[in-house]
Amino acid sequence: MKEVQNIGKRMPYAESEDYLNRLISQATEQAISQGQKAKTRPLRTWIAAAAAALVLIAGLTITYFHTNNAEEQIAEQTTTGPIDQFLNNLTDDEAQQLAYYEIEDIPEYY
Amino acid sequence: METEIQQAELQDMLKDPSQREKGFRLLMKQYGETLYWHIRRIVVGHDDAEDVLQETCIKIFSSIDSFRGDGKLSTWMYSIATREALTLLRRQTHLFQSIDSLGSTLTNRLEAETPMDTNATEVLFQKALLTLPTQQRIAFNLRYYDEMSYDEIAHITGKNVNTLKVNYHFAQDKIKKYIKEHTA
Repeated sequence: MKEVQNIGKRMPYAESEDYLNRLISQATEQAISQGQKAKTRPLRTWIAAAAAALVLIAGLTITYFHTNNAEEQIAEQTTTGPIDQFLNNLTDDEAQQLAYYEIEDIPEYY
Repeated sequence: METEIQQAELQDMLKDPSQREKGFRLLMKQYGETLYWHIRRIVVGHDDAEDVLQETCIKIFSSIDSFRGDGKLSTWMYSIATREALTLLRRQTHLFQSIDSLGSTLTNRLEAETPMDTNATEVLFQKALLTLPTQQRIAFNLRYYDEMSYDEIAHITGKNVNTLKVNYHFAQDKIKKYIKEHTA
């Protein structure tokens, strides 16, 4: 036990003073640069999020107007197209006749 | 250990954004080496100690605002270093394995990193320390090597002062017993 008391607080391995100073200095500078990066990170995240939101809003707006125009065009075509107008003007009998036609009824195929 | 004036000066620098980096460099210059040896005594391996020191530095710098100044800066830094070292040891365990079971792995690491001409008693003492449960080993190291008070150790480890006192005496007995058994 006396031998143990003699070794005191010595460790079985040692690192040179220079080496440790360099290591600590590197770790310190690395921590500072990481800290600086972390500071700019939230700002970048906000900018990216705002840009994404703008793109989404713009996309939705364009899609909305585009879809509305297309629907209007279709609606216009269905109501104002010559075939629709012709069909709308048919009487019930004429429409029934048209629905239950025989191929021979069509002169071109006769 | 720091005097009150030094701590107050450092704290003022760290709180001031324009002086924070300078303050942090001074802080690490003052405590870097003791932190390294504290970490090294826990993880044993030099490469691991280097990694943990790096992580500790990053944590200290990024969370300096959360230091309220109630206790000592050194104690706060030791708490972060201890937590980081334990995290690394936990990563080295297998699923459901306790870090206390890393004793033989750490002993092998100690043997691998010890120069051939090292005093055998120094190695034996470290091997005895590695037979202790991790928390007990950390408490022993803080008391024996860093000469901290039980209050400071309690602050770092989150343990009760009385429990620490009992543990320290248990640890001493275990170390003595181990050395006796291995020097016969």
